[in-house]
Amino acid sequence: MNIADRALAVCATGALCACSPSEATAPAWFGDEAAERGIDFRHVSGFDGRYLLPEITGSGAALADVDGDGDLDAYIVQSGSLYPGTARHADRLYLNRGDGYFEPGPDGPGGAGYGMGVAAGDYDNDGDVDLYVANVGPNALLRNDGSGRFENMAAAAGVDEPGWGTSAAFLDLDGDGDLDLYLANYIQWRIEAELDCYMAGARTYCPPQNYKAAAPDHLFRNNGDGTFTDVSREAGLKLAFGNGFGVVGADFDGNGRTDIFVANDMTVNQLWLNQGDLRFVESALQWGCGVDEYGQAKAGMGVATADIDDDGDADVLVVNLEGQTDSLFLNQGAWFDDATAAFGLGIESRKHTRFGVALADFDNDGTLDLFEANGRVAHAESGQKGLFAEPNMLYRGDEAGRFEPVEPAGGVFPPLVHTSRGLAVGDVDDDGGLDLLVVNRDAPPYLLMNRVPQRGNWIRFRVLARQGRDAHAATVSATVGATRTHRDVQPASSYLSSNDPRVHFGLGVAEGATDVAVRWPDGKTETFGDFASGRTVTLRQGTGAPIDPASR
Amino acid sequence: MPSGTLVPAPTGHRLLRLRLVLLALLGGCFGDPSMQLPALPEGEIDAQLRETLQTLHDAAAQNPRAAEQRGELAMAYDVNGFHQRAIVVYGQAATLAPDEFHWPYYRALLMARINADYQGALASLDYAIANDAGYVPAWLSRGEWLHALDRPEEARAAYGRAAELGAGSPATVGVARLLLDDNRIDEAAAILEPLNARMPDPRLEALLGRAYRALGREQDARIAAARGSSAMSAMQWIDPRLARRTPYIAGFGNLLKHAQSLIQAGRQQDALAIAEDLVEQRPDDMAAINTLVWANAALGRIAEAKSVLREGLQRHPDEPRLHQMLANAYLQQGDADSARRHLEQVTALAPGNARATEELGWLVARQGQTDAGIALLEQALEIGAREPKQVLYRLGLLDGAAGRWAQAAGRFRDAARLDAAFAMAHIHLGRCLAEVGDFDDARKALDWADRLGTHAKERASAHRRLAALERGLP
Repeated sequence: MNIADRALAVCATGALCACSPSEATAPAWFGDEAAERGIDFRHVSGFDGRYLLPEITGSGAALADVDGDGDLDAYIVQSGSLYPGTARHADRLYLNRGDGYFEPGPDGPGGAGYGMGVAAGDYDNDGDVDLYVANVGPNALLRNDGSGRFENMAAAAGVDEPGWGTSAAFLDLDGDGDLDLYLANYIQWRIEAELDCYMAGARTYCPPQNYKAAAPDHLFRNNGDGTFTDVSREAGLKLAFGNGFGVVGADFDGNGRTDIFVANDMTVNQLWLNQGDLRFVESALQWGCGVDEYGQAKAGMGVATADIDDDGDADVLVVNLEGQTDSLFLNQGAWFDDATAAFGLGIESRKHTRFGVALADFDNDGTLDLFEANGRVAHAESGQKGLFAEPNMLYRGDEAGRFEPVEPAGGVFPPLVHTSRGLAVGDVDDDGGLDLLVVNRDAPPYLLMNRVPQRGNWIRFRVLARQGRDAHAATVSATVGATRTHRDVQPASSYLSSNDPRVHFGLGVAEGATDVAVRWPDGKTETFGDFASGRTVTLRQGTGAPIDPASR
Repeated sequence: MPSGTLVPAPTGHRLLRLRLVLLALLGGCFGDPSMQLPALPEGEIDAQLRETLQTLHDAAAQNPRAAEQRGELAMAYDVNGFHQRAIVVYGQAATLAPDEFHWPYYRALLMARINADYQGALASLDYAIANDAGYVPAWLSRGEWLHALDRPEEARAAYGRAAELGAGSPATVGVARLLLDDNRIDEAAAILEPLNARMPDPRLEALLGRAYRALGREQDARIAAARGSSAMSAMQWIDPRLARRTPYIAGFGNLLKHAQSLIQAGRQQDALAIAEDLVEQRPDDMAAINTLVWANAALGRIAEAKSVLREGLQRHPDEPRLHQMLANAYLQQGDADSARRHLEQVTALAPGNARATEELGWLVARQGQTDAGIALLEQALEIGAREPKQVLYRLGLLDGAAGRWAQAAGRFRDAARLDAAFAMAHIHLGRCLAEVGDFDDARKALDWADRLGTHAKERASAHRRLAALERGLP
């Protein structure tokens, strides 16, 4: 570098040079159509100047077919007020008219607490999707009557856990045909014991480690009669826990049982390997996914799992705080390698605080893309309150196995800038392109409709267990072109949210998927043959051809 | 010269050229809006901090060609959390003082840490290095950022230069990380193992865990991963030139954080003075009281710490945190009865407080009420003990002392499962298993403890007991 270059180096990096406003150089992948499609929700954090920690964590949403008409409805969790005695702000249900436009659903009972996360699943095997809403305060188990009318059964069912619940997941962890319930708790927090913290000379929210009060998670065994039993202690969950935010379930060790990964905020993540009979062994450190390469716990927020490298096992992506990279843990069979930098996320991901996360093929080219919903937890430095907003990030997965940022930021022009938290992914207008529902703190949500130009072909599978419900954590494998691709039935992932349970495959130019097989949560595999693109195919357990695992 | 190669210190000729270039630039700069100082922060900002910033801002505005004034303002922005403003003003100061190391250096650190702008940070860092090529932390940062930018050869050169300048372990760790990323696992392990043997450190253990996993050394990986999960690392880069910014810390919250970091750095006396002032400003602020108590306790001034807490309790008799701190102070003085009284207050006021429940349980047990102590420790586990492995270990000790060997073995087994490097848990597990006649598993537990290598006396004793029991001795 010569001397003039050196002098200019300072100028060129911000001190002396003005920046031109960003301009759209490529068609945006998404457009926000929440208002025009009938979503009139507005999140209420309840912030009144006191900086109560739950206010900054936002809430989540579910995309699920709650009225059984074949399309995705939207359930959005409201936060509300943390002060005892104040009226509960109701969660909102929006029913899909069938064309991706929504109308308000029936008023629901909601929950009694300050709303956080939602899990969707047919816990009573009666053929409709029920909801579990995690709150600061007693959680709600909303039993569906089939039309989208709900009754809160939490107390009767034994799942009205009163702590600070965040994400939850319905998973059949003991292989008995009904969905058990894993609940992540954040910290043991009381309004009267709130702490004072400061940033840039002003009050702000405290980091979780200041409270030194991580809350244990809970595992509820489904008794098969509409009730649950808390088996957390017997399962081993009392022995390791952190400030839990994100939960995903998948068979990480390939032993035919569904395991659980929990992303913890500033505490070591947990990898609960299922030993059978609802016994779990915590193995995150041993597997290399508990901390970063220096042994430091990151601020785990949202988490997603998918077979990112198409090698047949479930990899994990955890999103973290500004200044920390994402953590892309690549499954090596008996441990994870931190492949964050190798996948192109080493620098770009540090720029924002990420919460919601989706690994999905938005452009249907056969490769997973990545969307991250962002927003700070400490206010921006101007010294004014309420400035937590950040643009979201969209990355395109390329054939070289890297994630490349897509412009404009977040895939929308002009970029949307709010304090984004929960994120659910699904095809709400059934046009073959995956859409996104993003909940924003103290603002309306985004309904990001997929507008990717020249999307590839696609096929989608509804994967049903013998009981007729979605087979959570089942894996669909299909050959697309020359690649054997694996995708899970994965409603519970991201942050506080629940996704479309249908399994979506982008096909690129391929006209269909061949040699389609399902590995069910009980470890057994069936094959279902070949299918042409452009439609939703239902795969029912017991209707495929069973195969001997040793033959695969 | 390609970026990434060493930047030579400017010669006199080069300096002259540089100054000419800069003068030309400056002529334009002062007409350039980007040389204008950023507006002061708005909103509800601490009054003392606002005054500090205002004073420094005014001084810089009145002396528009004075780099030092801009540098001071930038440092105040930097250490008080106004990082974007600091980046801008450091850049302006660097432009005005082209021979100064600090402004582009500080700026580079912020650009990397706050904005993840490694390209920009490197440009600014190279500017600093050109003014002083002998500063080790600058080369270490250069290596780290080049590594992040996937420029491994240049990163290796930077670490090499840092090592030549005496960087020691941090440069070696940097090289090891490069080797790991390059899949040269054996070479990385060969570097890390002797370093860790000489100076055990969680960071090194964490990297070794990664190497061992890749090498298929599963048991070593488990131990290294467990040892590497500690949040605290002794191996930190020492960057003495950052201290120049410290006098500009202002405002209650920033000074509070500063006092806490001073205690951690062993400068308790300095922290005490700050904390006393903060408590005087806000006598009801729990964080300030905690920091003052912490500083006093760290200096061995337990009586003073207790006095602060008693004063707080007079105003807030139902504040569990004050009771908890006072209990700790009594424990430090060996006054178990008083400590117990205050811990009981905490658990009555905040029944979900696992930490107090655990401390109370252990205290009660040591006072001879074993069953009551065990019940409290189990309750702590149920509601969320911070370190379950420690609670399990204590429960194991209590069960073992009562001769409940099988139950104790279960507790120690759980503790050892949670932390593969928890040597005493493995030793006691071996001992308990020997007592119940499970000699094979006892030997496995002790073998694992032997592998960990610590606590030689306790291991030898447990081995002797195992041998005696195997021979049928009582």
